[in-house]
Order: sequence, then C-alpha cells, then structure tokens
Amino acid sequence: MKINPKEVGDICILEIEGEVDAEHSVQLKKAIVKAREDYAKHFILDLSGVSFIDSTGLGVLISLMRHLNENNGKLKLAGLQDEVRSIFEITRLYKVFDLCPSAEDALREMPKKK
Amino acid sequence: MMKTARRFKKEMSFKSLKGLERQVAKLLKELAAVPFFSNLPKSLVGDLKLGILEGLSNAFLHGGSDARRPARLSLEALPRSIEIRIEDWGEGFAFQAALRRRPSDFEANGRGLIILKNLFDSVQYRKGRPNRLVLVRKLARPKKLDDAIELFNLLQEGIQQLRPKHHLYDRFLDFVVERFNVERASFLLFDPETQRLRVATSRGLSSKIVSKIAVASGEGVAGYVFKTSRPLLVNNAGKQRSGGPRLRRQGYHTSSFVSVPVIASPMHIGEETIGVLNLTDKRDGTRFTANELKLLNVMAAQAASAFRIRDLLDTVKQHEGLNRELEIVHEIQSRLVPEHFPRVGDLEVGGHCQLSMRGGGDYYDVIQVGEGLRGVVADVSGHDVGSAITMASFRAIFRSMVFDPNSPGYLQQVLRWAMHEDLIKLHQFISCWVFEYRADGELRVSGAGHPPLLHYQAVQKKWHAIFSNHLPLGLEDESKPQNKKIELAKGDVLIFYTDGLFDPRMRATGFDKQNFCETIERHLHLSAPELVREIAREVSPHHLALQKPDDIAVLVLRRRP
Repeated sequence: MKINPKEVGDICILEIEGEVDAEHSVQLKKAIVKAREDYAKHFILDLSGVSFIDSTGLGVLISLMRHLNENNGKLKLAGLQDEVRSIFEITRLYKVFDLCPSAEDALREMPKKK
Repeated sequence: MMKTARRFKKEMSFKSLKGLERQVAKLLKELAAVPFFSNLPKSLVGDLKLGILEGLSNAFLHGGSDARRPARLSLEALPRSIEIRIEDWGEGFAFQAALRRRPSDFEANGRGLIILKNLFDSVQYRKGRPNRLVLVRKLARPKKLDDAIELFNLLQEGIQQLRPKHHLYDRFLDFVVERFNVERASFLLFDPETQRLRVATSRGLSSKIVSKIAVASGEGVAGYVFKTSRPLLVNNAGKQRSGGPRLRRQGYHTSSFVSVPVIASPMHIGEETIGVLNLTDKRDGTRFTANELKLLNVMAAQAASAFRIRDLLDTVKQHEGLNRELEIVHEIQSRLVPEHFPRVGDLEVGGHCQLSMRGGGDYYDVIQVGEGLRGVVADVSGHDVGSAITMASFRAIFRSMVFDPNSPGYLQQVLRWAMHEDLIKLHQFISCWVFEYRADGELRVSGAGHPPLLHYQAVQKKWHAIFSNHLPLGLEDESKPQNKKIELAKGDVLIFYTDGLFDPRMRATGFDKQNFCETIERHLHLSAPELVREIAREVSPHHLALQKPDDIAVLVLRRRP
C-alpha cells in the first residue's frame, strides 16, 4: 500500500493506493497520527486507488472519524471505487461518513482556514 | 458526540379535559419512540396512561384547573424509573386523609388515589401553589439489564488488564453482595483433584468455617446445586421438601438462602459446572424472590464466561516457542464457536468457520429457546488478541441475555449498549445479525452493518437478499430497534456469512457470489450440515490462494422440504 500525504493549510489529503487490510492498516494509522500531530485538523482520504478495504481498515477510519468529531475536525472520503463503496453500503457506514466523488470536490467542501 | 438516549422528558399543559386521552396516548408514543424505552411492557404503559389520566382528571374536576389556570404535566423517564408530575392551582386537599378514606359502594368519587397507590411505587402530594402530585414507577427490567451490563463491564475490565483470577472472583462476589444486600456470600469452586467444592472467596464467614468447607458433589445445598446444575431458592429451611437438600447449620440467622450453579459452556465439550455461588442473610431481613434468583443466575453465567476466558488466556500464555498471539486468537476463537446445533422441528442448522492465519473475530452461535432457536452471526473488526477477546465478551453477553423474552432487535440493542464503551476504547466495531426462529417457520432478524442474508426461496426458485437495518455496534445508532420478518418455507435455505466469504480478491481465481449461489442450487438436496461442507470445499482453494485471507464464517439454516 502506498500513502502520499499532501498538506493544504490545516487539511491533510492522504492519497492511498492498494489494499487497506489488517497488515496495511498500521501504516495508515501511523500516517494519520503523524499528520494530526504535525498540523492537520481536517482530513481527506483519497481512496480512488484503493481496491479493497477490510474490517480492520474500516476500524481505522471509524477511529479517525470519532477523534475528529470530538475535536471539531472534518473527515471526507473521496473517490471510492465500486467495490469499496459496496462495503460502505453493506455496513451502512455510508450513513456516518461523508463520501465525495473526488478529492477536489471534498476539498471544495472543507472549511476554509481563518 | 451523541450518546444513546436513555432519558426522556416532556412537559405539557392542559386547558381542559377535551382530547386528553388522545394527547396522553401521543405522549406515550413519543416515549416508546426512544429506543431505550421502546420495549416497556404493555401493562406498564397502560398503568402510566391511567395514572396520567386519573391525575389530570383530578386536577380539573377537584383541583379547579381551567383555561386560565391550566394543569401542567411533566413525564420524565430515566433508566430505572418513570416520574409523572401533575400540578394544578386549585384549593388542594388533605392527601393523607383521602388515602385513609374508603369510599362507600355508591360514591362516585374517592377511588382515584387508591388506584394510583396500587399502580405506582410512590405517590406523593404536596398542597400549595401549585398543588403537586408526583407518581413514580420503578422500572424493573432496565435495572436488571443495567446490573448485568455493569457486572459484565467490571469483569471485562479485569480480563483486559490480565488481572489474576482471584481478583475477578473478588470483584464478582463484591458486586453480588452489594447488589443483593446480603451479609454472607461464598463462591465455591470445584477442585477436580480432591473432588470437593472449596471456598474460592467469601464474605461474612469466619476463616475457621471457610477452611473447613469441603463439600462433595450432591452433599448439602451447594453440593446439590453443583450436582444438578440447577439454581435453588430456599425460603424456609425448616420446611424443606423431603428428599431435597438440607441447609447445613453454619450459623445462618435467616431461613432465606439462594444457591446458583456457575456454569461455563465451552461448546465442544458440553456444559461444565465449575462452582457454586451461595448468598444468604439479606441485610433488610427480607426473603429472596424468584426474580432475584433469576438475575443471580444470569450474573453467574456472565461470571463463568469471564472466568473461562481468563483460564484460556492463562493456558495459552503457557505455550512457549510458538507464535503466541496467533495461538491465543485461534484458541479462543475455535473453542467458542459451536460444533453442534440444536434441532427444532424440520429446521436444520449447519455452520463453518475458517480461520485465517491472522485470526480474528468471526463468530456464530445458536441456542434453543423454548420451542424455537435464537442465534447470532458476528464479525469483530481487527485480527488480533483484542478482537478475539471482544468476540468472547460478545458471546458472553449474548448467552446471558438470550433467554430474555425480547425481539432480536432489542437483543441487538442490548449488545450495543453493553459493548459500546469497550469498542470505542479498543478502536473496534462489530457487525452482526441476531435472529429468532419459531417452530412455525417464522424468522425475525435484526442486522447491524453486516453483509446481507441470502434467502433461497424454493417455490419461486429465486434468491432474495436481506440487508441490515442498523449501523455496526460501536457506533451510535439512535433508531428504534428494527426486526425483519422472513417466512422460511419448506425447502428454503437461509445463509448468514461474514465478509470473508465474498472477498473481492477471490474473483481473480473464479469465486464470487454467483458461483456460490449456483453451488448451493446444485446441492439443494443436501442437509444444512452437508451444504456447509460443500461450501467449505468450494471456497477453500480460493481462500487459501489469497496472500492474506480474512476469516470466513458461514451459518446455514434449511427447512427440510
């Protein structure tokens, strides 16, 4: 799995490529924690390159969402492939996550830094 | 962050009695829309309605309320009680005297307070400006659930902190001593070497007595309970039935005594009674009730599960030179998934759990309840010891609540409440289906973020997918518990599975949902256990071909044609 972080003000965009499973979730968690500690208040996870996500991966996203909810941060998931989208539908998690067609759309909807 | 609502409060004012009943019915509907209060017994809702109508009628007929001075109603529901307050601005009346007064047969008035006194646990009236009537009804069921859940959390914390076993025993006994308000209690464990029950921990017994206790199976009350695995309530030791157990003279000063078996149930070796819990001498001098015995039994079952998990962790920790974590996960997971299923009428059940090298939290369980079955299929996120322990805890809660006469949706909600804090702490979530099968073929299911059920309808020769209606456990879900009804006709097949079964990566080797359904259709003549074996044969090569396969759990229900 490849993770490419981009910094836009206090927003961290993580472009993720590959499979977000139990093994790679640790890597994703570390990237999130680093960005949070360094600068990020809000996150956009660009999942357009993600072909598979399992329950451990979803667990990482849920933890991030909980953390951001408690700290007035926003999380947007962008560019989900059909396979990944269907996992969000099956688990009904599409109801609690903010899903956007692309990272650009997600960025436009993010709060502007004052 | 929103918490699951466990409180409801509404205030209303009434200018006349017109439309009163309709408004009160609407108010009680609003109360029932709060998930926590959605399963209040009909009789209790009826009592609340009657109490409100009676109180408000009094406010208008005797209290002088009218359009200028409306009567005020406040209804507040808390987890353990519901309080109704009614205020009016009239002259008021002498409450105590009215309570003492018995109306003659032909009097139209005077019965209201007597009715309220019978329906509510507390009826208070304060004369003043305004006059205030306060009715309180205690909620017995949530208290029971709260107690059971609190004990579960207490034991769970002890397990997660890997506390020594005697620490868990002490916490368990302290909890029941406090909840049941008793002076004396003892927890006896069976020692297989000496074939005697010995005191693991006690309260209110002298060390001299404790050291002497060594009870053989069948001897005295504790030995009898241990041997029969049945709880016992003795409320008059002097008048015990002949042939029953004798209460030993150990200085008890009341004749009320409860003793319950502590039963662990590792499915593959059958149920095993590991000890006995005795309580006696309630501090308030009252006797134990049948309901208290039932609650104690639920708590003992929870404790037994916790002790069993702790034992497993100890056993596996002793393994050396192996991949320890995986061993623990596999050990826990494989021991807790049932190998045999109860049989009910023409329903067949088959289950298969294929563990990945990494292990995880896939799980299913099926229990016979009365003439029917109740079951669950669940998947705890993650692949580590934490997931396996969470799965074991989920199982313990499910098993301790499964006999409560509530819908699958309600059971799922209880699991949600019970597991919520732990799941947040552990960064986990659980998807699950809870189901109930009745002997007449009706199935009710409630799903929480779990993959859809696949229902093969034999008559139409069609597959039908049934989707979850709730979010996974570990996420706040404020909606009222929902159940879906499925008519399982003769020849129908219903398949519960975890997400590993249709791992999209297996498509590369030629396995997907369509192949799966075709396989089932080719083997519809097989029984459920045979179908499950066929599924395992079909999916195994594709599963093994994956670099990092997920766990797979499949549970098949089939009605014989």
